[in-house]
Amino acid sequence: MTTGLPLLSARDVKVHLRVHGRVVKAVDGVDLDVYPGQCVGVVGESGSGKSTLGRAMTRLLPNVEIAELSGSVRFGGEDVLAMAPERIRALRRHRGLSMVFQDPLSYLNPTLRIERQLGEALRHLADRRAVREKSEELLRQVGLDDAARILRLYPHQLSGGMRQRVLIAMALAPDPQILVADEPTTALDATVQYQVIQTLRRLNRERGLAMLIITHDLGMVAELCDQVYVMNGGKIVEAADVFALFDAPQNAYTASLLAAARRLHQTKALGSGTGSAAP
Amino acid sequence: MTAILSARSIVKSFGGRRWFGAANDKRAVDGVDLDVNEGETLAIVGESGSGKSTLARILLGLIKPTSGEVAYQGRPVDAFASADWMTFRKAVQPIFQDPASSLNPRMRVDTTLANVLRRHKLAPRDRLEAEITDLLASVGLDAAEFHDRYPHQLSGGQQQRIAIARAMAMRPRLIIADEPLSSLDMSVQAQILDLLVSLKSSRNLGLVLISHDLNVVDAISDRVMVMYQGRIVEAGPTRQVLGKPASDYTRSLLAAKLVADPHIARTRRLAMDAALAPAPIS
Amino acid sequence: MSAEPSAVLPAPSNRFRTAAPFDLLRRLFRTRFGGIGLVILVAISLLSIFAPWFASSGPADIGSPSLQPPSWQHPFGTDSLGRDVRSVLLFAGRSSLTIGFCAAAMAFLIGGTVGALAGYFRGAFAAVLLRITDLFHTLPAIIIVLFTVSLMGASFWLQVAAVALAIWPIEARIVYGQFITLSEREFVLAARATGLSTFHIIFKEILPNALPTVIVQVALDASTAILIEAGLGFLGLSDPAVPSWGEMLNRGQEFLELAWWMSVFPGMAICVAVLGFNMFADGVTEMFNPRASATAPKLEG
Repeated sequence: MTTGLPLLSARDVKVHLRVHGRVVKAVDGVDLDVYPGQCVGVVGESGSGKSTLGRAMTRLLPNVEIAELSGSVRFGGEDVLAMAPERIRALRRHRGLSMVFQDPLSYLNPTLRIERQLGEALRHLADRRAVREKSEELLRQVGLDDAARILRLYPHQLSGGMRQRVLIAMALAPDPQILVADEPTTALDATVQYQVIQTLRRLNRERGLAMLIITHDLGMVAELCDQVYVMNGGKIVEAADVFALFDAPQNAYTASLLAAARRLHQTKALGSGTGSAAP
Repeated sequence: MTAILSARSIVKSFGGRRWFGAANDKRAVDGVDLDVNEGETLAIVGESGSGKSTLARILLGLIKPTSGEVAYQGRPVDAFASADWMTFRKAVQPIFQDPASSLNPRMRVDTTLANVLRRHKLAPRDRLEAEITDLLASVGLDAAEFHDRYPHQLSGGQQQRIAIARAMAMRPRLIIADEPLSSLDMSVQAQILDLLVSLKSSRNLGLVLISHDLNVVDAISDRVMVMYQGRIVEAGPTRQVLGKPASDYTRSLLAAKLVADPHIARTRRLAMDAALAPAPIS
Repeated sequence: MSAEPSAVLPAPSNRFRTAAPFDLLRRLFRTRFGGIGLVILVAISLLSIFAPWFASSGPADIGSPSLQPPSWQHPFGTDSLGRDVRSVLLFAGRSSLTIGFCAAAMAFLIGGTVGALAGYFRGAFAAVLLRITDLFHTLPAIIIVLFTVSLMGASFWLQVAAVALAIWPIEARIVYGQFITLSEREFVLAARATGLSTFHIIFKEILPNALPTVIVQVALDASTAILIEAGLGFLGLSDPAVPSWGEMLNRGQEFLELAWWMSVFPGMAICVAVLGFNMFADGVTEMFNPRASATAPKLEG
């Protein structure tokens, strides 16, 4: 999977923010690669800078005062950080980067039905029927089989898990080459979280959709990712294949994270017969 | 052994009555019985909408149930005079999920603790500061550094420690913790968990732990109750409920649990794929 | 590995950063208009308090020739009674501003109490309080004021009471909203669970957290009060013994063509006062809840 050129390649990315007069080095020299079809995880605790990194790479930084924004994020031969805004928007509309955020309710317009919002993302299609068919197909791809009914609903009529999957469907609409997801399942219940993760996994394996998953949850990383970057204090402290990372962490911070997970019993499969209804 | 706290047939419905016809019957808690014994850890597991937080508030006496009875040391809470309530309040203390919002944003750490100590006359005026220092030390914080801080000047873990210090100030017999770890980073979760465990054992505290996190439940609780839509669907010793679950819902919760180990994750996936796949072709 | 505060971006819920008074002042001046508002309020208050020092003549001095346009001697001209408009303006400012501040304070006391009680205790008791609030709210301010004044006369303090009666429901609703939301917050639940007294919870736990919103509302109430008073005076219903900006407007209406300065300057004074209160209110809003402010820069993304 790591053959050929990376799809997305970040080099020495720095995002320094000015907060209440002080300069905060949110992201301080990060190198990162995502190869086609690969699922990469960026793991860190709060304050590590992982969210800021994700937003910088998709040019979605909030309107906070930026002291420095440097480095390069190469995608398809161009530098995302240096692109003109129209080019970024073009990328988001078709075959580029798509982003999925943590809280689906804030990113869906509560006054529009799902079909309108999905339709927005499919503006590039020819006619209404094509849009409708594609919308239904997208919803089915994320595991929402009752597509026709769901399209007619408003966001508040959907459960949290369904909303998140709609967001993922919207992110898939422009047929992106890479999906960047920031804590995509944190607000969800465990059972739903598991389903959404499996949906993401299927998309990655079956469609070959490259992914960058930003999370604090080691369980999600273990379930989904091939390659893991561990972030702390704005820097990448370790980068390794997922099995190598969990089996033999090289960095003390990574080791402490794994130790905490073990202390919280997150590394045990509970009871017998875990994972299937059959005993 | 009488239970410290017990609840019988607790029902809580929100939503009031419609103008004509029956009451709007949206039951957050729908007929729950439970007992908590001295020094025991009881976990209540459920997802959102299960009613676990509402139940916690009813057990703490913060909300009145629509019907049913909560009893402290065998005596029904409804029959309490104000002196009884003071005893109850000292004995049963909460810890909430979001530590930032469980502390008054405009109050310093020492003021928050002093208010509680003064209210219950737990320390004479000249001993107040010393008592606060001891309390902070017992939760692993240096009083000199933290006593005059405001909540926004503390990290999530430190805030939760203050909340625990406040709860412990009254030397309670039972702590009701509603998702005490969920808002915290993983490494901090482990620290707070250790703190709770050590306080529990050193003071023979009872603990009602409400959580959606089966790992933590497995780690520290003696008994588990699984809640779903206001009802208890399964209850029993932890080893039994999590090891050999009797109900499908419990099983689905266990199946959904993420494991921070890629090997186990892979094995599980292969097992599921095999279970779903039709007769092997290759 | 010790946990350290390391928020990368300021948490949006950090609205209530408590700080020493000077820090609060500094933050107010960092907002777009809050500092200007405060300066205006302080300036007009000082001018009013020290009116005798700033005025060139007493409020009752009618010695000068009447209806003179603005000149070096009388920068704002003279009115129909031969009084120096500038001097009268300063003295009138005293009553107008006093009505503004006092009516707002009374509205806060009445409305704040009603709102706090309804918001904390709820139930049937609160329902009754809220219905009474609504009743007063639906009556137009001017009707209440006219009714009170025509019944009981137009003495100064009755005016203040009348205006307070007109605006207390707004304050009540605001305080009610604050108490409803805040009493659900976990620190209030914790305070109840630790057995703290109701008095303590209302005044020491909830109220300090409601303060920013309340201060904003009181400032807005003051500006409303000044406008209502101006209306009253304009209609000739204010206490004739006490000069006020509204009363000056009333006097000026017949001479609008002859002596525009009799109306324009009190009108401007009212505008400045109202602007001052509103800008201050907006500044406080921006300090504590940036996205709710009309003038603060908006966050994107």
